[in-house]
Formats: sequence, C-alpha cells, structure tokens
Amino acid sequence: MDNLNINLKLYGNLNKYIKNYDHKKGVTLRLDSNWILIDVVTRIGIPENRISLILAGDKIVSLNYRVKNNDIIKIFSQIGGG
Amino acid sequence: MIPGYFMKIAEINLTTEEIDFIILEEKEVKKFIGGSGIGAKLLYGYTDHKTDPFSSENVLIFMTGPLTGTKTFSSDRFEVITKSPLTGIYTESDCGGRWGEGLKKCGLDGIVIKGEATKPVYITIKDEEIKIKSASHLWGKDTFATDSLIKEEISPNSQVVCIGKAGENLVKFACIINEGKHARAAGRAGVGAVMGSKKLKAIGVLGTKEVKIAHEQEFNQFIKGLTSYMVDQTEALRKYGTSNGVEYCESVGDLPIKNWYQGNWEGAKKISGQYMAQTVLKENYHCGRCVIGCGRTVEITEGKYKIEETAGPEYETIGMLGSNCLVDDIEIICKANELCNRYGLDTISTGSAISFCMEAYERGLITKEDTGGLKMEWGNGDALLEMIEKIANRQDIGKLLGEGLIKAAKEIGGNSCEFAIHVKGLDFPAHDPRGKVSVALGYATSNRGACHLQAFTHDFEDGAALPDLGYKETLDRFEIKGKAKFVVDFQHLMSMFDSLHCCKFIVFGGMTVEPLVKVLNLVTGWDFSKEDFLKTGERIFNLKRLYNVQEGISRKDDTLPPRILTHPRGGGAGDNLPDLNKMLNEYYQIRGWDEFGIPTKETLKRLELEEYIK
Repeated sequence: MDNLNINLKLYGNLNKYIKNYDHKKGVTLRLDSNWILIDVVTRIGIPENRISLILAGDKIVSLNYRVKNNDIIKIFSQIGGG
Repeated sequence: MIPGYFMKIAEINLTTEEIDFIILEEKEVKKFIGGSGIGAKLLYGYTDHKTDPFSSENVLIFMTGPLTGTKTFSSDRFEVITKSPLTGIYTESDCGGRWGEGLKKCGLDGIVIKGEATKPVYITIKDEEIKIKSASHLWGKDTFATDSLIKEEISPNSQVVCIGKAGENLVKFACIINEGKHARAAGRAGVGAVMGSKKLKAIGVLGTKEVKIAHEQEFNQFIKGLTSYMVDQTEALRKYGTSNGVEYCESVGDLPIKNWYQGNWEGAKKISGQYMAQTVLKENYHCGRCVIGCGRTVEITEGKYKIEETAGPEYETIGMLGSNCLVDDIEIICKANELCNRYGLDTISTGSAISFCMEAYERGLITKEDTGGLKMEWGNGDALLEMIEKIANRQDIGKLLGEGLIKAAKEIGGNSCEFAIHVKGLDFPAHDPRGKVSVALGYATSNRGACHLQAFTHDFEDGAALPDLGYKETLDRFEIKGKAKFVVDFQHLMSMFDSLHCCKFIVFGGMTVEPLVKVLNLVTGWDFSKEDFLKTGERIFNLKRLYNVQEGISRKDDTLPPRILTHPRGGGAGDNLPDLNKMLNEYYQIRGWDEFGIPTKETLKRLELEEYIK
C-alpha cells in the first residue's frame, strides 16, 4: 500500500493531544493512502465531540474525508458559545 | 489629556433638557479604566438603594473605554450601566457593533442620561453638538426602522442605538439595539426598559475626532503582528459563528434542554452553526475593528418563516429559544431572533420566559385561557413566535412574563419557583453549571445575576488554556478543587475586558493578559504591570459588589435555583451537581469577603476603595 504525508495543525485546546506540539510547524504524519480523517483523529485520541471544524487546505471537510498526499489539515475545537 | 481618552462625559438631563460635562481626572481613570469600571463608579454616585430603576432618579450610562476607537481588535463596543428593573441591582450590558467608536469620535468617553422626558425624545450628537429632539415620528417603530430613519436624518455613516416596542412598553428584559437589521444588542437585565422609562427612543452619533495613541508606531506594529495569528486561530468562529459548539455543548451537558430538565436531545444537530452554514447563512457579520466575524447574517427567501437579510441567532439565542423550548427548526429560531431584535427584547430572557411558560403549561399551572389561546407545548415553534409578540406588546400572560421570572413564578404559584431558572432575577444564559462546575460559582457571584460573561470560564474550564493567567491545561469540569480561584482570576480579567473595552473573543486569538496589558500601556502611555492590571480588575469587581451590598445583596442571594442544585440532568453532565456552598466558602476567603459575602475593610483598603468603607 502507498504511503502519503499530511501536515496536521490543531487549534484551541486540541494541541494537548500531541506531545510538544509546535503550532508553527504543525505535525507531519505519514499515513497509508486509504486513511480517512476519522482514522487520524482516533489514532491521536481527539474525541469527536471536541471538533467543530476541519479544513483540508481552505475547504471544509468531514471526518469521512480521504486524505491526500501533502494535504494541510486543520482541526479546530469548539470555541465561543457566548 | 491622557491618550486613549477624551476625559469627558456628557451628562444629559431629559427633565430639564440641560447638558453638562463631567471632566475625568487621571487618578480615577487609572483606578477604574473606563467601560463598566467608570460606569459602576458613576452609578454608585448617582443612585442608591432607594432609587426605583424606572424613576427619573435612575441614570442610564453609556461608556466606552481607552481602547475604543483605536485599532485594537473588536474594540468599537460600548457598555451600558444602570440599576436594573429586572433585578433591582447593579447591571451592565456590553454591546458590539460600531456605536462605541461613533460616540468616542464625538470627543466623548461616555454619556449619562438623567431624568426623564415628558414626551418621547431622541438625542443626536455630532461632535460637540448635542440635541434633544421630539421622537413622535419614531415612537412605536421597530429598531430596524428607527435606525434607518435616524441615519437618513444625520448621515448614513452615523451610528444609532435605539429601543423597540418592548422598551417603550417597559418589558423588564427589553434591550438596546445597535446596527439596525444587523442587530447587536446591549441585551441583558432590562437596560432598554430603563431607556423606555425615560422616553428616550434613540441616540444617533456622528463624530470626526481621532483617539490619540501614546506610542502609535509601536502600537500599530504590535496589532499588525498579531493579526494573522488572530485570523488563523478563530476560523471556527468565522465559519460557524458562536453556535459552532452547539453539538459539543449538548454532548457535555452544557446546552439547556427543556427548561434545564433534560440531559440529551437529538434536535441539537439541526440548530447548530454547522447546520446554519448549510441552510440559512448568507454571510458573516463583523463588528467594528473585528477580524473574527463571528456574527451571522441570515436570509430565508421562502416559506412561512421568510425573512429578509438580517442578523442570525447566536449560540445563546439558539440555546434559549431553541433547545430550551425543544424547538429544532432553525428557520423558526431565526424568525424568533428577528422578532426579538425588532421589538428590542433580550433573546436569552425571552427564551427563558417562554420555556418557563411551557413548563407551567405542561404542569397545568396555566391554561389556554391565560395564554390567549396558545398551546404552549414543548417544541411548538408557532406558539413561541406568538408569545414573543405577546411579551413585547404586554398581552395575556405575555404581560406577566415580561415582568421577569421572580414575579411570574410568584403569581403563577404552585411549584413554579422550582423551575424559574435565574440568579438574583436574571435568567440563566445557555450554559449549564451541572456540566461545568465553575459556571455555578460564576453565575452565583456575578454582579448582575446569572451571567456567563463576568467570569467567562465555560470556554476555559473544559477548553482553551490561558497560560498567562496561570492556566496551562484544561481542568476537570466536575472537580470543585481550585475552581474558586479559577473563577476569581477570570472575573478580574473579564472586568478589565468590560472596562477597556473590547470583545472577549479576541482572547482566543492571542489577545490574552500580557498582550492586553501591553496594548493598554501603548495606548495610554501608562506602565501597568500584569499585577496592576489584574488588581484593577479586582477593584472594579469589588466596587460592583459594594453597589449590590448597599442594595441588600449578601450570601443568601449568591445561590442557584433548586433544579440546578438538586436535579441531575444526565447526558454529558451525568449525575453531577455543583457543590456551590463549598466553592463559595473558598471564594469569599480568596476575595477577602466575610462569611456573608461582604468585602472586609482590609480588602477595601488593599484595593484603594477606602472611600466606600461604611
């Protein structure tokens, strides 16, 4: 199976799920090409209910999104509510 | 003149039609900053425990802060301070939009409205020129039309605050609206009703003055340097608004459901910001100087709930008029929001009143005879819309509901006090203390009654970290240990936000404690340390408490409704109930208040509030 790389950026309090997370760099992950985002999120341990928005580049995607090589994935926690 | 200020507040007496000016002194400005800080100090001087909120002796204070009218993010806001007709104690209400900057550009840091007019009036302020005019052509008009008519008269570039029919009719949770159809509201505790009691329909402002900055070049560079980070970090708010977390809030037991009784609700996903983005959302709305754009502009082009382009519902509105009434149709919630905005009704208290009414109806404490024939059943969106009309126009049971929950429960009787969900008369906003225990203490001790913004911990207890306030990690949301200090620290910071005066959401984009201190110093030329800054927030918080102490507020009032203390809601909150008393003991101790919740002399001396020692 082919491998691919994605760069993952976490927002709000989600950075606590990756040790020594550096927001400027994000985290580069090497994945199997058949992975969808829910696999990534599960592997890292981010609870689904904490996620309010996911972007692949500038496009809004869901947890069922099949990642592509060199994707920049941004995952945002919920904020606001006030 | 101190940079960041004009050092001048207009005092407009509607009884005598005299206009005077208060000249501020640096010493007091440094102690109380602006916004609700100076507002509380002024209110303390003008009113006391004998003042009836609807009498001509009450004052309505509009305040800006030193950051208003500068390039600081989201700083064109203003604060309204008065004695509340809903709670009978101190209140403040913060509002977005652009009116704050408009007032400041007239060379004023604030306005105090005194007395009351004999016939409806409105005020126009164009730089130094202040006029009181007959509002006979505006009285009875909704807030959108009033805004347009005054802008036609003064200038399309002017800014207007006004009340709708709810304020005219003295509904005790009437609000003040800015920005016309884009409706930003000074929403809470009946500031619009006080405006109505003075027969003041609106204030239009148009100014040309610029706010001076002490270290302008460095200030501009600092703001510019933070901008891209601010934009990057707040994408979820921009895409989905404040309701980006509706489903999360439902999952952790934070979202109110069925008048705070139920744990989970499938309908949450149909009223979320994500769902709105796929359906009714037209575009973002930005308040002045805002790079976040959490405001929603919605449009419904066809069907029963058709509305023209207007402000969409915020999280609080969705929680209170949606899930708390079991209404899962986003179009109905948009329509309800539009009605509240046009009438000038606080959407939080309106939702609270209607959910209370639905429960009283379900329990047989009221019937169709009381409701003017409306079947006030859970989820009945059409009845909800009609009840909004009845509250604003004071018809049928709407008249009683418009008096607030304390009076409504007393008159309806039965066990309705048990499910009247308020603190000190102010209805709960849409965050449940059983889901996050710091919210319990925040609501119980807030100076205006149940308020989520005076502590603003709900997003930090189980969410973002705030390292420069000492909170590096997310806390356990059910654990009470350490929560008293957590609430105290956040109340001090939020007192400063309300005084400076800028939007609290910029904290998510990097405008945390140290950057805020830096901005204050760059604008004013002062040299506040972080400790000075937070101590000033503490002083302001205590001053508001002192105002309430003279109103008779003490520990007996720092409590929560029985349902919140004794009924486990289940769902994401499980069987958790906040142990309020334990937290309250520790809270008073940290604050230097006595066992009754009264600030001690030593505390007042430490905070340089000696003049208030009695």
